Amino acid sequence: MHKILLVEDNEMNRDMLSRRLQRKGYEVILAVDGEEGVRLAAAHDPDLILMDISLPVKDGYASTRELKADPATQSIPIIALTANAMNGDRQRCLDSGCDEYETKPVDLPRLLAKMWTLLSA
Amino acid sequence: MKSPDNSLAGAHGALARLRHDLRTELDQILGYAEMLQEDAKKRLEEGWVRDLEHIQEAGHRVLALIDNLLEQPSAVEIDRGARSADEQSDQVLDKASLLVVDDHEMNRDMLSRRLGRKGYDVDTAADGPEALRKIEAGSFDLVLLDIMMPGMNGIEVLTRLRQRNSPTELPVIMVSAKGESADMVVALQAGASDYVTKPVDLPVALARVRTQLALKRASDAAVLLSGQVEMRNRMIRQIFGRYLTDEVVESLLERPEGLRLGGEKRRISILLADLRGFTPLSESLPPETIVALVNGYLGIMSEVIIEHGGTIDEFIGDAILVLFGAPIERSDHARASVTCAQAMQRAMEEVNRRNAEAGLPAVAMGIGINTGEVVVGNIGSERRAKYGVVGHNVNLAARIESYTSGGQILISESTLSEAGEGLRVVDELEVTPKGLRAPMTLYEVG
Repeated sequence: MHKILLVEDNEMNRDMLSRRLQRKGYEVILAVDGEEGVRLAAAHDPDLILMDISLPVKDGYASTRELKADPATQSIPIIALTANAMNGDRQRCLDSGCDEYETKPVDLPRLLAKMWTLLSA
Repeated sequence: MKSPDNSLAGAHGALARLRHDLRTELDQILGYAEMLQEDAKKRLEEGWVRDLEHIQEAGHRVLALIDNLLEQPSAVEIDRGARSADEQSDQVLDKASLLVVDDHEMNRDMLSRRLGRKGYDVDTAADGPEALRKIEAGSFDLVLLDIMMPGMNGIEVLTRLRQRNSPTELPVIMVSAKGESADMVVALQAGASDYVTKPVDLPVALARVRTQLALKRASDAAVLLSGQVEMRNRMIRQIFGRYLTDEVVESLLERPEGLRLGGEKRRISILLADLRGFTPLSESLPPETIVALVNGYLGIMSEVIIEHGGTIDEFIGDAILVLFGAPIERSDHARASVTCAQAMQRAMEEVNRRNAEAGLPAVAMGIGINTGEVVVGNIGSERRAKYGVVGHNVNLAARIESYTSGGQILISESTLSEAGEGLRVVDELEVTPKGLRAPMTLYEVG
């Protein structure tokens, strides 16, 4: 069973997405802000990280950069999730090191397909 | 509402934050609704499934309204100058011609206006037949095609248009409502280039349109380039094809450095053959007869040489200069040259049989072979070049050949030693060719 770290500060979104992922057979670990996200990634070594971009304490860009700079976590694929959907955002996500990018509201089949692609690589 | 991303600013920034927060809430609404719908389906609660679908549809409509809100600055009186650099860069687009196909007027209108604002030329079609007519008549760079249409649906339209236009010629992005993933697979297999789901997330759709257009441009450039390469290769085949076998020309084309003038030193075997005692014969026969005779002989010999992997470097009258080991390297060049010589002598029977039939005199051929270092390369000028060979070892091959009588194969010591075991040497000959200080031994091969 694949282990997914979901970093999402909004309680409802976190609950909703984690439950949907669990129904699809994933084990889900939760982090409520960027700092906790980085810490849990190092501690639990997930197979993939879903990273909300607008996070308190440490935002998604900074957290991604940190994870990609650390040898212990740099190989974990990261999909950025954002409710901002402007063109600059996508490039910023990719520039900070994200492997993929998805907008909210989440299109679950598409997100699952991207996750599957990264998990099988 | 949580604290926003600091990069947004001004009135536009406030609107973007609002949009962000609304989308976040919508994510919850749509997400929970979808989960409940799955459960309702499992419990066969048809009524609940339908109601949840209504909630989702309403959610999607809200999403469309949100997106529209940001796309219509006049409606909220935002100063164009306050737009973020991101949005401004959107306006710098190359022109492309798009066709939007959808049976709903609102969808056509929305997409064509939003895409039009980004600088594209957008036309619309309300159904499959109209779309196909317009594609046939016009020249579109890309088509956005709705799947669910009455009459001819999107998949049928796609299939028909793919009969005429390949994906690289005309990219097609399918537009589907959520839940039609099975259709998406069919569409992709039928030749769709990509897809977006409704309600159309414009930045995503735009990114996909741009990607497909960029791919198309790259492919058009590649086709042009390959056309040019093909032309160049044709020219080269014409120039070199008269001197070299197809195989050799192809290998030269594969290695571009093979076409540069300039040479390399290489150890090869050189075979020289000619019709012994032919000169006096040629003086006593009419020219047409001479040419017919020589051509017949050269034709048969060429076949034999090619079969043995030799490169015919030159026909000098009735003489043939053949290289083994150049331009295509081979380690067994010495052995190959001898085997070829033997086959050529055997083929003289055929040459003379044809000569007899044509009332022409019988002829006899002598072959001389030498092995050693030579310089090979494209010799000549820019205007006229051929793959040639120079060096004293070439001259030596000619000298050796001059000692032959009809039907004989004479080879040098170097050829003998390099040709390996099993050669049938029937005689030895010691000669001192002019210009050489010491005598050399030649060997006759049977």
